Amino acid sequence: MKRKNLRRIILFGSVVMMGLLVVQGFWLKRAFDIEDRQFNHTVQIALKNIADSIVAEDLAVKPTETHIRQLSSNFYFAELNVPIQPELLDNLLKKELGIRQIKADYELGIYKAKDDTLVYGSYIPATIQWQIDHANDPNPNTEKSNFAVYFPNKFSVIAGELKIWIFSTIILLLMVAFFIYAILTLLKERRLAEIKEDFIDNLTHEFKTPIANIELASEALKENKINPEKQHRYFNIIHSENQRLKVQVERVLQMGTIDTHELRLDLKVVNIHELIQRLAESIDMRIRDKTGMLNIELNAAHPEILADEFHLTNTVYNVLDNAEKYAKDWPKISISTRNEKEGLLISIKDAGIGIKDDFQKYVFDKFFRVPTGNIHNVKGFGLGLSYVKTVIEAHRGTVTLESELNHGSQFDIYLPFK
Amino acid sequence: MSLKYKLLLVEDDENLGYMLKDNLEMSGYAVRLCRDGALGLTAFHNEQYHLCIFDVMLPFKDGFTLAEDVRKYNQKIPIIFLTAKTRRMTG
Repeated sequence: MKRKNLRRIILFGSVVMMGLLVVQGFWLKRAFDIEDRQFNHTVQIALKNIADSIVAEDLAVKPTETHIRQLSSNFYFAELNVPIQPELLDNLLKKELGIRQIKADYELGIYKAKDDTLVYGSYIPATIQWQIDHANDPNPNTEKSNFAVYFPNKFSVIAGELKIWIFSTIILLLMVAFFIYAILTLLKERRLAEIKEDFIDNLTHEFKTPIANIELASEALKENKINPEKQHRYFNIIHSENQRLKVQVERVLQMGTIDTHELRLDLKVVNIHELIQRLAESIDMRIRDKTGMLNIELNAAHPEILADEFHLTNTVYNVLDNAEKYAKDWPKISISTRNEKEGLLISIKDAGIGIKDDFQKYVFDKFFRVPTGNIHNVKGFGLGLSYVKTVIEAHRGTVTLESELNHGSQFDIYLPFK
Repeated sequence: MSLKYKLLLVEDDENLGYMLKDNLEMSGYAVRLCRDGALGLTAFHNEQYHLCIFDVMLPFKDGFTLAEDVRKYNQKIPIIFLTAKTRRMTG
């Protein structure tokens, strides 16, 4: 998929998702507000009925007007100015709220009208059924009073009425999550496709060049147009390009064997220090040719480890080879070892070009190469570090990278004694 | 003696560069061979050429960028690209 198309899909999809979320949020809020108003209205009517019937029952006073006030979103106050019997009020409340299908817990308080002191207070769960019980209170309340009702769970009661809305919101959120997941998968797939294309490009380049060179050289020799002094050079070209092709073929064939389950380790006691010394000798010449330096500090007291010598040699070589290839001006490489925990740590540090933060997590991926466009300073297939990781993990070890762009990289290979 | 056409060849592959240069010289051209894009641009500034042949994948400066740089100074010089790439669209 083209980058532009993908960007369009992400942009369009995000706009649609955002739009849907906004619309859903708006309607959810609106539905909640309507339910809230309905609740307030019903409660106020219920309280008004209760207040009126209490006043009507009090034969000692002339019927007066009662007022219901909502003091906060879930707190209602009824002004009666008559003596209120808690039991009667309680029963009336249960009855009125029950008739109106308000199944919410509430707290009830009766206050003296003259100084607002609390005379009676109780918490009543919605699950208790109402009963009118006119049992005589031994100490009836004779003070002129008002009462207040507080619904602590009003929000959840209203939310409970919005089940379908909440369900549709959850579905929408799931849809958004699925969209994000799909986009992330798409991006990952695209990255893999790009890596694959780069690899094929690279592979084609690495194979076509030696083939073209052999063809050119052999044709020139066949046509006898090369003078005898140059003929030797042309034969050498054919030979070296053939060798080059052989190496490339070997590398590609190795690809198939670097999956962990296919990697068969031939374990035996390996002296890591000897292995490093051997590798250092082979790479030292290349480093010196570039006026670089290789520093070796073998500090591990126990350098012997159970490992596959062949794969481990390749592994350390790959890291060293990278340190040499990706040097900045001239290679400056240090190799050190030390015993750590139950194993051995090999650190290979270079002062090379380093790896940008964004790419560090991909360097151990198969076929990944830090993108450089058509700049072709270092040739390769992006298999070296993937092989390193596979081999080290097959040894139950770890390999970690610390790198800073333009300052260099450090690879720490930890191998347990087992 | 007739005028020799001068060619600027930028190719990082040692063998291919050598053989291209040799073949072109045998065909009567004067060839200047450079191993990377940066050296190629320096060579272009130092001398006058009739034709440029650039590999696409080069160290330090790729062939397309090199061609862009060359075009800033000379809009007429023909440029031929050499590539083993197979994709139509890259980058």
